[in-house]
Amino acid sequence: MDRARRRKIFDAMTVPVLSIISGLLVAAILVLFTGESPWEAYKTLFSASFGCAELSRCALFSMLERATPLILTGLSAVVAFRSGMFSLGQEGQMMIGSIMAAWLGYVVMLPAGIHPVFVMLVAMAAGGAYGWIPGWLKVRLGVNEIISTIVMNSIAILFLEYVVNFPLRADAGATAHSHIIHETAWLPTFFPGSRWGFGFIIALAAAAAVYYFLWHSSSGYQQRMAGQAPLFARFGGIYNERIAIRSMFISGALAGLAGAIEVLGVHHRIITGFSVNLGFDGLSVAILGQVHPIGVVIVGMLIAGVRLGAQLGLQIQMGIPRELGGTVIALIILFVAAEKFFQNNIDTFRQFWERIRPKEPVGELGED
Amino acid sequence: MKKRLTLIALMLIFAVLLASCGGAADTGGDEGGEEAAAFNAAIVMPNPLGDRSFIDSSARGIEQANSELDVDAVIVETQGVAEHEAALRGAIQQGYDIVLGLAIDAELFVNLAEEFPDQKFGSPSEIFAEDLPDNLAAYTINVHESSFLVGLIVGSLTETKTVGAVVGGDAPALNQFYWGYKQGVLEVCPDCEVLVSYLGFDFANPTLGQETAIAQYDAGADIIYQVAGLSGEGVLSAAAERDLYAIGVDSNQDDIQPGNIIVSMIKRVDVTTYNLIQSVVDGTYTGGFSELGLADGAAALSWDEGSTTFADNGPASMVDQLPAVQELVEEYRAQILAGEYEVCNALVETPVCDPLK
Repeated sequence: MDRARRRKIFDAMTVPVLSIISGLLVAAILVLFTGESPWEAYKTLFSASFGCAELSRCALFSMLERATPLILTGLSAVVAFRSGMFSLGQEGQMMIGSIMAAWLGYVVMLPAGIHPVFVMLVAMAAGGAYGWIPGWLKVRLGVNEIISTIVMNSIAILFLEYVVNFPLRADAGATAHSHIIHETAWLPTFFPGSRWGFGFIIALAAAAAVYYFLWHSSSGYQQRMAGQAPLFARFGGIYNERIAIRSMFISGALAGLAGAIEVLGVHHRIITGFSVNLGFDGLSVAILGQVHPIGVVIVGMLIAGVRLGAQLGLQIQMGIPRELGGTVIALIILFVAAEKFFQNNIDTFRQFWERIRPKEPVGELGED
Repeated sequence: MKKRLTLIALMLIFAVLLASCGGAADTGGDEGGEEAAAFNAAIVMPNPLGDRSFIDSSARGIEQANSELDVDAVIVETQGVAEHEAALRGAIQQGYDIVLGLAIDAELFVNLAEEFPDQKFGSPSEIFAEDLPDNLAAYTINVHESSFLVGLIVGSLTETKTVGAVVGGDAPALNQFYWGYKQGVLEVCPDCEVLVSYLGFDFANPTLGQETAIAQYDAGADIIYQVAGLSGEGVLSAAAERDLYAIGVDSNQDDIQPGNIIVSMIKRVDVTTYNLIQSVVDGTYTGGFSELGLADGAAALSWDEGSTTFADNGPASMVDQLPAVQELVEEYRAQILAGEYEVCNALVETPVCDPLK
């Protein structure tokens, strides 16, 4: 790996890493107010999300299961952001994918193996179509995609509530839920005790596909150029409108896939209150992951881990409110948003280093 | 430049603070470990604490168990159904003597119980299943009879001959409240109209509850029975806002809006929560269903516990009627307990229920 590339990776990692450290430090102060030791708290948090006592009682697997939808919705955001579309519609597209999966998993009879593939493809198409609408509205009518996607999230969430309360409602349980999908449509899990399974592999494959598409294919190059330099792209003969709509379709398809995997691999049905902001969390994952598939995979696991650790570790073992997990994540995002603050400090530090470093031809951090 | 250095310095201070206080608090943690109880238990709540109703009632059972039994019981809050399974599995991973789940989906609960046959499970409130594995104990608190008593009170006190019910969702466990209530209203006021609104199982949305209640008050209702967890608090606020009346549920809610809440129908989830933990401590735990109801005091009126909030704060015109109403309630209660009067139970429908649908 040459120096320039190393430098680039270093630069991409500094802000997220510093943000995470700062977020943890500030949250540590909040832990002090609860009268517990922050060190113990973090130890518990991480052992409850990354630890593994035995295969059937393994927190790590639960964490990977929770990371799966975050990775996919994060990738969905990556595709949109890289193409210059600030889409916040992951939540709604995911709900549409879940609805399709719960419906087709129950009404269609197919052999195992084919069934989940069919359901996932349809869910991706449905999520993609749901993402296509705001893309089309943006290009044709100039509707701001931030607003249209947010509005469409609410529509999808309410539609899901309608669907589980009426047409897809199973029996008269204590809550409204759809029928359990046929076992032929279930995604296999790896170990008993958690729902960590094939969906995670699909998420990793999707990350690789998104990476290959955006950085190693010519249509991906068009996507990125349309996002980074629309005018340059336009003069280069790229139809920005078509690109925008295409990016929204792909983004929607990835979010729809996330919803399908939640149904096929985890819940096997949709339930009232199914939307728990996994789509919005995907946005945080994308931003903290530097809008890059590799970053998304890492950060997806981190955020899933913090959530799970806060719920199971802090709350159960230490009696610290689970909201601390959300606070840690919020603080980290806040620090990411304050990127300039770190960037300036790093620059200052670099200048300082340049001045005091021993006079050698090559510095450790390199020069600008 | 100077500003930046200040910030860096601040960060360093944080770090130092962290290090020093961390050491001090460590010893505190160790002391806590010494008083470890002989048994431990965990309960997974369907939504966060603070509904002043169903969930808080169960939490009181946990507190009581912690103070009276040799047990260390913890509460696991969740943010809705999508987190239930992960929370339960997390609790199972910790190896508690018993894992309780409040209002958890029956299928999920039964499947977990079958997957972990060595783990004891308990459900303090009814779950809807055909039969249960040996390691899952579930209480059913029948609320139809006490809801019927509420209906009698409401039917006697209404002036507009229109009363309302705001119900969390259209399911037998919730219709058990509503149908019993409706039967009670119609018993004393046959020409009364009973409005009902279902909230689509949104138990954590006071705004929705409030809007729904206002719509019912606008339609002429003057008393509303709410069965909707935290969403029901919106109904109570609406009652205060319109200066009309509402009925509390699950916990004693008479004091939330004094003078506007006539009575509360208390569902003693705290008792069942406590009983389940106690059964593990005593070694009397057995799986399967247990039923409690009006006869056991597991479902009761706040008046039975001596609540006089409405009598003290309500309008004189209504307070004057209370002794007569109370007498009526006792009359019917005696009949019900003696088996002379049948109230519709939505969980096991009988012909009595037919006119109420």
